[in-house]
Formats: sequence, structure tokens, C-alpha cells
Amino acid sequence: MLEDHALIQRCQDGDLDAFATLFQQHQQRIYNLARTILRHETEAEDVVQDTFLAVFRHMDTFKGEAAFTTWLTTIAVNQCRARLRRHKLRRFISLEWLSERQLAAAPNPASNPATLVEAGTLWQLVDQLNDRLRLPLLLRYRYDFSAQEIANMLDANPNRIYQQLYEGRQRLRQLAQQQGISPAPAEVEG
Amino acid sequence: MKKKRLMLFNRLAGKTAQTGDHVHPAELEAYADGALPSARATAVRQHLARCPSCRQQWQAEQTLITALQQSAPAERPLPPTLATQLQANLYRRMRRSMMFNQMRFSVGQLAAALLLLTAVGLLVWWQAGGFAPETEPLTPMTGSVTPEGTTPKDVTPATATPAILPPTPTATPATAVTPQTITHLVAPTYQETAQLLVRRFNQAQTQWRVQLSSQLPSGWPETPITTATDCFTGGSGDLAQLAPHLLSLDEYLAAEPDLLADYPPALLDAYRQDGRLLGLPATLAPQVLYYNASHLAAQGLELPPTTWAVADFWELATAATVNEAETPIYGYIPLDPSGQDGLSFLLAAAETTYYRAAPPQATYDDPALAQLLRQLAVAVESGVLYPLDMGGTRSDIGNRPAATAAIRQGQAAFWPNLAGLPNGLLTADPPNFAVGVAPLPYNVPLIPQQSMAHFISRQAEYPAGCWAWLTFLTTQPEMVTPGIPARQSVAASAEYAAIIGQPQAEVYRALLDELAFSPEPATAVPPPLQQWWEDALAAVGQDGVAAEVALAQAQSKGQAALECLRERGVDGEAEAITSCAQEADPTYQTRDALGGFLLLDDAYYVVATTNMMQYRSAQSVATAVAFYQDALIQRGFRLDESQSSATPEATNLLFVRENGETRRLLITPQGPEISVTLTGGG
Repeated sequence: MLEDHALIQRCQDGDLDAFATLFQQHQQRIYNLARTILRHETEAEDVVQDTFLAVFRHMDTFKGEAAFTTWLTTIAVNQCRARLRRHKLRRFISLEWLSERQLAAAPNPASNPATLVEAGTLWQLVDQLNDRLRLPLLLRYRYDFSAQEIANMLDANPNRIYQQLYEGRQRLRQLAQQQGISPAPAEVEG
Repeated sequence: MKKKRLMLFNRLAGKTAQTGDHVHPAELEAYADGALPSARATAVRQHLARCPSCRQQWQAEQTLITALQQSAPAERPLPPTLATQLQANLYRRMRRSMMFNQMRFSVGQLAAALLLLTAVGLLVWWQAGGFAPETEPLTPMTGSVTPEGTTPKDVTPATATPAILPPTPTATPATAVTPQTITHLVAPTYQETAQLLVRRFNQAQTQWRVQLSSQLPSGWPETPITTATDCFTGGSGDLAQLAPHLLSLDEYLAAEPDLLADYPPALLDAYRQDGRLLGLPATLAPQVLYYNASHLAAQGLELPPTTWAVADFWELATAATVNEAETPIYGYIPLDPSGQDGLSFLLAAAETTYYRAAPPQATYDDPALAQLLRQLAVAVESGVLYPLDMGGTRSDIGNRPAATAAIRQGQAAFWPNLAGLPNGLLTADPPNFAVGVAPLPYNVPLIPQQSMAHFISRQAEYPAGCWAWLTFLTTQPEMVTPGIPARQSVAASAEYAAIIGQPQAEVYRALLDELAFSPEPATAVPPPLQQWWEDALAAVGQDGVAAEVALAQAQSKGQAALECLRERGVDGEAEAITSCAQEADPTYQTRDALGGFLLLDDAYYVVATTNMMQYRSAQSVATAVAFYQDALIQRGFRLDESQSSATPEATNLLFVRENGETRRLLITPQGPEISVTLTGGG
């Protein structure tokens, strides 16, 4: 795999082949990220295109101060967030959405923590969180970005991100408890 | 908001370091990441070394974090056809983008040409007179109110304004020929009335020229409103915070002792800080009961007197209830369109409450509250009281839009709202029935928040001009804020009666005579406790749950949340309140999270709630749009009239909010639904 910074240098010099290589190297990751955030495949495809189009238009502004992956993810996350907002506004009176929510809230039959972890059920619980808590958890524990990087992506303070990560874990425990499962040891009484 | 959260975090962290209490779990992860400042990291490390509880806590957090990391679903490979298709589509769009770039110069030229045209247009408009065409027919100044006990100079600024002004340390206008401009910020809803008064003022004197604005400063509310205007009209809510930015009015008032005598002393006290009067009261807006006078007359019922009791109210409301008709008429719809609680006076009369502030305590278990709730349930069952759903923890607006629509359609014999509204509704369109007004049947002491005042910015270049303008405003029977004129002479004037109606004016005069301000500061009920009360109301009034059962549930949650706050020692923090509410009630959601106005990234997004499902009719959608319109304006959005359009059924509204960049919200009714779209910003 070619190094990002070499490809970017070539892109900035107008080499469209280099851009195509960058696209091929990162499109799967961006597609999966967008699909996870938006829970919608077609929308995720649009985000992939919008993200790389934005990269293409703003390639000159990339100075290499952050890793290209972080820059690219930031653009993709922002594209997703813009769509989430629009969804939120559009979906509120849609019956489809209501049934989605009811399904999401339905008790999960699984009860063995080991099985849950293997089957990714823990991440199904993450999927039930609101976006304020879901996005930091996703970027931190699934995509391995630091709190500082997430803070930059979400235009927030790192302390706020740590707070949201904690709240998200708390909420996960509550959801697991409601659904009769135990993803991890409960919080210790202080 | 960000600053507040940071402060909360730091406070939690700081408290830990100072008191030796446990480390906040959110901070443990920052510590493990090496993200804490070294001094703080040392403190946390030392604490962890001696605290098995925190070590155990962090171990639990790490276990969950590891489980999350290890169970992350694998990346799904892109199907080759999709990858090819994505690339092809992207390249098509890139080609279009490159073509656009080549056109950029000509687009830039077009933009420059448009800018020039706009500038010329503005110049022509300004030369034609701008906001205040001198030739427009105006209400003559002599037609304004002459308050008793004041000199004519107060109401004839053309000749009197300079004389009533004491010397000021700031600049005095050089000549009367070139008027000095002062800006006044007023809520967009009242721009029309304010504009009328501006024209009256500007024409009547030549020394000052008032320009209206409704544009809040960028960064408001952190940036004080005084940075955007010389003077403004607003409430007393933020008086302590705004005080350093406001000019004391005492210097001016010293020259006008009669002016002070025209106000209820308690009202003036509401606008004093450290003995200095900072606001000139404009209006009082206590809650009153409006009634459908046409309906009461048709039922052969006597109109309510200016002094009455709760028992009289129920008797009249019950007699006015019509159940058997196709369109029922409720004796009382307690959902105040202004957003206030229409049951507070009933709680006050029953001497009960569900929350006491000192010390914070949930009191849903008060037997008197259960007794009242049972009465309300009977009233709902018999059709006297409209079904109670204020939203609670299930919805941000409950059945408020439908309730408001019912009031407008004449289905309420009585309903509550702010005093001083010409037709009892927050709408310009008069209803097709006569509206009367009565005081609440129980005299609830007012709080300062139920009034508005005029203020002068400390930065105002011409405070004397502001003073002349504001004192003029107080003499005018037309209001630039909702409510009753604060000056007693204006409220008692024939001019005001002509505007508001003679019977209404009499009610308001009686109300002012009985006026009492609460000696206690206003109690801010924590939002979750209010929501749990609303849940109990809905459970009893709509779902048939026993009052004791519903209240016991609320008591359990309320008390647990308050105890949690007490333990944390951060009872004033919104986030702590929410967090504790969620500990007490895992399903708890704030009103923001439920819909309505969701604050994200410093911009507001509108989302309706699933409750909207119940109101799929053109009428109720129009009501909901009106509801959002009012709320958006209150939240600092500006209606872009040039791009809004109205249809007989509903209104398309475009709102913009300047906050570093322009964001636009378009509300478009589409059949029985509302589409809300946001553009601009990130």
C-alpha cells in the first residue's frame, strides 16, 4: 500500500491517478464508517462520494498537520452528522422511524455476555444510544481515534469527549441491564 | 455551553483533588490516556494508589472498554461492483466540479454586479426615507396618553424632551437639525407596534432618531445584548448578569419624581440592583383567564366577576361545558399557549406543591396534591377539563398544539394566557367569537419575571436620547411587549381602554390594585421534576391510573434525583440534573432530547415529536408551525420575510440565525406533515 503522504503530494501536484489510489485505499473504511453512523447503505454510498469530492476540492488546504486518515474521517463524520440532522428533522413523523425505534427498544433475547461480545451485541446496544453518545464511542473504541482527535472532529473539548464516553458506557450498562444482559462488571459504588 | 461543561468537568476534578473524594470515572480514562496536566495526573495517581474503590471502578471501566474494542464488528468489504460504481459516480461529479471551477471568474463577476445593484437599491431606498418616511400619516402626539400626575412635557417630546433631560456626562447632540441616531432592540413579534411608535416619536421631535433592530449580537447569550444596541426592552431574568452593562437610571429619575410615583413600588424593586434602578418597567404580564364570551352568553351564563374564588370558577366552567355536541366545548383548557402552566393557581389555592426549594425536596406525596389530582381526573372524565398532556418525559410539547387549536376554534370556555393580549391568544388573527378576560380566581403573587422593562446600555453613545425615547414609550398605550402598561396612569387611561376594550381595561385596573409581588424569589423547579409531575397528570387524567400510584412513582424518582444531586453537590448544573434524573429514571429524557428544540453545535434544529402523529390535520399542522415560529423567534432566530410565503392553509417560513455563519431553517407543511430542513453551517 502506498503511503498517504506521498499520494497526497502527487494529488496536490494534479495527479488524478494518485487520487484514484487514495480513493481505493480508503473508500471501504469510509463506507463502513458512514454505514455504521447512518445505518443506511445508500446514504453511506453518497457520503463516500461527498467525502472524496470534498477531499478533491480541498486537497490544497491539507497541510499534513494531522494524519490524512484523521482529516478524511473528520470530513466523513461531518458529512454524516449533517445527514443525521436532516434525518432527525425528516423522520420524526414517519411511521417507518417509529417502528424502527420500537424494534430498537425491543428486549434482546441474548443473555450470555460471551456470546454477546462475540456476536457484536455490545455494538448493537451502542447503536441504540443517541448520537451525542454513540459517535464518540464509535470513533474511540471501534475506529481507535484519541479523545483529542475526536474532539477536533466533533468540534468539542476533549474533556467533554471523556465525559460523553463515560456517559455512553453508563448508558450501555443501563441498556444491558434493561435487556437482561451483562456486558461488563457493573459500576462500583463509591 | 462548552465552557459550562468544561467548568463542570474541572469542578468535578478540582473537588476530587481538594477533598480527597473519589476520582470522577470520566477523568480516569483521561488519566490512562496521559491526557491530564501533570499536576492533576500526579494527584489522580496518588489517589488511585490509596483508593481501592477507584481502582475497582477503573477496572470495571477498562473491562467494558476492552469488550467494546474486542467485539467491534469487522469491516465489511465493498462489493466490487459497488466500488466501481462509486468511483465512476465520483469521477462524474469531479468533472462537473472542475468545470465549475473554470467558471468561477464569471460567477465572481456576476456576484460583484449583484452587490453593486444591491448597494444602489439601498441608497435609493434610504433616500426615499428608509424606515420612517416623513410623509406617512401618523397618529398625532396629542392623541397619546397624558398620565395623571405627570407634566405635559412627558407626552410631547417635540417641545419637552430637552427640558426633561438632566445633564449627562456623555455626548450631547450638537444641534436639533441633525438628529442623533439611537438603536433599540425589540422582539421581532412586536416590531410592527414598535415601528408605529418610532414613527410617532421621530416625527414629534427632531433631536433624536430611533432605529429599531431585532438582531441579537453574535454569540448571544454569552455576549451581552448591550453590545448590539443602545437600548432595549426585555425581562428581568438576567438582570444580575446584565447589571454591569446597564446604565443606572437614577440620575434621570432624580429630575422626575412624578414618574416614579406612577409605578407600583414593588415593580420598581424588581429592576433594582444594589439600590440602582436599571430598568424602566414597561409591562406586567401576570397570568389571567380568558373566556369565550360568546359561548357563555349563548349558554345564558353570567360573566365572571373581577373578584372570584376557585369554587366559582369550577361552577362556571362546569356549566359552560358542552359534551354532547359534535365539537365538544371544554370548561377549561389549562394549556397556556404562552407556555406557562395553567394549573399553578389551582395548586396554590390547594396550598400544595410537588417541589420545595429550601431544602430541595420532592413533595408529590403531599395528600393535598393527591386530592387535587383526583379532582382533576374527575374533571377530565366529565369533559370539563381538557385531557392533560403537557409532554412530561414522553414528548416535548404534549398535546399543546391540539389544545391551542381547540382554543382558537372556540372549544374552550376558559383558558389561561398572559394578560394584555387583545384576543387572548398569541396570534394576530382575531377568533370568530368574543373574548373576555378575568383575573385568576386565586391571587397568586407575581414574580419579577412576569414583567418587562426598558433598559439603556452603558455603552450607549446618546443615553439621553434613549431616555427620551424610553420615557416616551412608557406613555404610549400601545405595547411593545405583551402585558398591561406598567404605568398606572396609562393603564387607567381612556386611550388604553379604547385599544384593549373597556371591560378588559377594568379587569386589569382591578388586577393592578390587587397587585402583590412574591416576597420569596422565584422557585426554579428542576426540569425533571416538572416532567414527572406532567407524567403523573397524564397518567391520571388520560390513562386512568390512580392518583396515589402516579404520584408515588413521581415521588420515588424525584426524591432519588434530588438525593443524587445532593451527593454530587452540583444541584444547579443542567447536565448533573439530567444525569441524576437518568439514574433515578433510566428512561428519562430531557425535553431537548425528546424533540422540540435540540441544541447541537450551537445551532438549533427543530424536531417534532411522535405526539405530532396524533394531530394530522391541516389545522393542527398550521398550529404546530405557529408554535415553532414563536419559539424560534424567542430563541433568536430571525424570520426572513423576503423568502417566506404564506398560503391559506399554512405558512412556509424561512428562519436564519447569524452565529458566525448563516444557518437557515425552512419549515414547510407538506400535506399533514411538516418538513423541516436545515442548510448552511457544518
